[in-house]
Amino acid sequence: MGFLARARVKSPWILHYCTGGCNGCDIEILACLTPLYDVERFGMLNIGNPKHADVLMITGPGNWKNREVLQNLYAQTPDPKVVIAVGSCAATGGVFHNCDNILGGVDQMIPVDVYVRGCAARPEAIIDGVIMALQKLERKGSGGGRYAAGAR
Amino acid sequence: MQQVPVEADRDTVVGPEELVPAVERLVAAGTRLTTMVCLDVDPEFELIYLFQQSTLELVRLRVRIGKGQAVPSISSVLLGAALIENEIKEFFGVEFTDLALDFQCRMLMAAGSPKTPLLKITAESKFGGVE
Amino acid sequence: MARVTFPFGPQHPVLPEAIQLQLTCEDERVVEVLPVIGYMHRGIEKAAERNQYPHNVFLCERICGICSFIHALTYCELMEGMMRVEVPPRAKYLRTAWSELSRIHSHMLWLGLLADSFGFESLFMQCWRAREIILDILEMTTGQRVIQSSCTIGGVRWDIDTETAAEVRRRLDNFDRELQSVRPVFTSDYTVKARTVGKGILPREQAWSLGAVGPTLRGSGWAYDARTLGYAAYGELEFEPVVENGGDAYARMMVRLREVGQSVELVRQALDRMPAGELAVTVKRFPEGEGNIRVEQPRGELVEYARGNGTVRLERLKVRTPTFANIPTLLVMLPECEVADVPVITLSIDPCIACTER
Ligand code: SF4
Repeated sequence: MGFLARARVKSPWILHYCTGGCNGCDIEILACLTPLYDVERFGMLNIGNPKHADVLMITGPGNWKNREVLQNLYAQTPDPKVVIAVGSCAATGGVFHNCDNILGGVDQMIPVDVYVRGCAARPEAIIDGVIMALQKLERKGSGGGRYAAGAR
Repeated sequence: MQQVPVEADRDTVVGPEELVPAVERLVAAGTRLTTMVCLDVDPEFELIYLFQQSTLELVRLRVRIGKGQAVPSISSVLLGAALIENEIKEFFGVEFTDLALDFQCRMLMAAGSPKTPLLKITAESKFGGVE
Repeated sequence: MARVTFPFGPQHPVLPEAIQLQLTCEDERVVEVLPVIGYMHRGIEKAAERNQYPHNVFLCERICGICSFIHALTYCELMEGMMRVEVPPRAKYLRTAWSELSRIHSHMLWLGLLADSFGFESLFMQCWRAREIILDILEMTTGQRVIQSSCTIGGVRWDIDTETAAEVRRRLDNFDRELQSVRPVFTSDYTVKARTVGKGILPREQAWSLGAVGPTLRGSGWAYDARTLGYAAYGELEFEPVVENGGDAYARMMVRLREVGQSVELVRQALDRMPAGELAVTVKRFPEGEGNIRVEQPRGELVEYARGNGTVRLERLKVRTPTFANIPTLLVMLPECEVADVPVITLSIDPCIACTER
């Protein structure tokens, strides 16, 4: 593993974007950053700029207006990157499955690597998801060919 | 204060043309707009304007219009109403004349979203009726 | 000086949610704002017509995850009122206790975000640490941290027994101590004052006519709190609406800070006076006719209107959330401010975009 790849896995920078969920998962992500759960001990940092990010954390089902914004953010994030869909509604649409304006799941808009279950997802589950995502990031970053499933 | 049932004695039914003067009168008396509700009661739309008096009581104005007919906007009297009117325009396709701030049906919806989602879908409206 | 228009959002570090403000500036001064919303619109009102009415409790709860309990409570009280169901008194008190706990956690969250918006990182952490105590209480009593699902049509689903209540009281005391330690920072710290006093002034008259609600309205000197209408058990508890007269971001902050203390008191009162008895009644009716209800959320007054037709599905459910009413006030507060103050002023109405767009 090269120096860059190792640094990336030791200190992933996270971009959080909400595509229209109920906020429940967003505040749990923020709760992860605060003293009780404190993900900074894993070197994770929440940042506001997609160009600096390694991990995209998306909450909420996508809707029509958000789709372009999200695809833009995805395109602006440099490779290698991983996408985490946090919460049931980010995975499938969840409780909003029969609402009009939603597309049903983040994976309808951009490729997703890790799904975190729960409505709302617990902070522990979110941290777990990030750790899984990092294993994927490591494989992607070290150029080990196509990453397989297994890191689910 | 029993909140839930809607007491008919606080309702005023007005026609579309008397709407703006009625709202002006209410606003001059210190009432403010709480919200507007639109309902699709085939073959008409029913618009309910909920106003709040400074004693916290609610008063209502009810307007009925036919589909395809335009309602005068009250956003010239109350700017805050513009957002609500835009929402109704998007959800039901009700036209408002003289909207102070017109989002052209792009306030909540995007280009690809379903059009006028809150209309009731009846067999008639689905096959060539008013849609 | 040429005018420049630039977007603020939808993805922005200080905004946890997606909203865009198009700011037109001259130099560093904002001259015009246009809020662009819709990034979080789902279409809940239509889904509420498609679902069966008892299932809507879960949907309404997820209109907004921060005030989730109060959304569920509003919908339940509305349906109960339309079906003329009498809720057992114990359930009313439990509902009150949980609503007030939600209010505390929402206000602490907001106080933290406000501190974060002007870069006061450590205060943000302090507020959120205190908030975890409340989330622990919620988890202990309902099993979930943010979406409690404990309110149901006809009553509540879980009880707080005497032992748990004693534990809740003990933790509330802990919370009180934490609150006392952050309060002086908000009231007298130089940075906080420099960034909030005199920013985003909303004059008293305009606050009323623009339709502001909640702390935004009370910060401009109006003693209007929908809790005084007496839903749940509020009619039997003692409290006074918190009012500040400044009309600026500092006044709105003080309203929320004082409301946290008030809510702690209300939870204690509710636990003390809770009568014994049933938790819920079985409801075997369908909603019919019209109903509307007003409930005080952390962000202001929530209005719901419903019409039923005697079947299991509703004709229409309309939700007017507090932030929807508060957004027009931004059009008064933002012009003439500095670009650097935009985050603080926007946050000072406590925008909840998921609520607004449903
Ligand atoms: S998964 Fe549930 S709690 Fe999370 S954003 Fe979606 S609806 Fe809200």
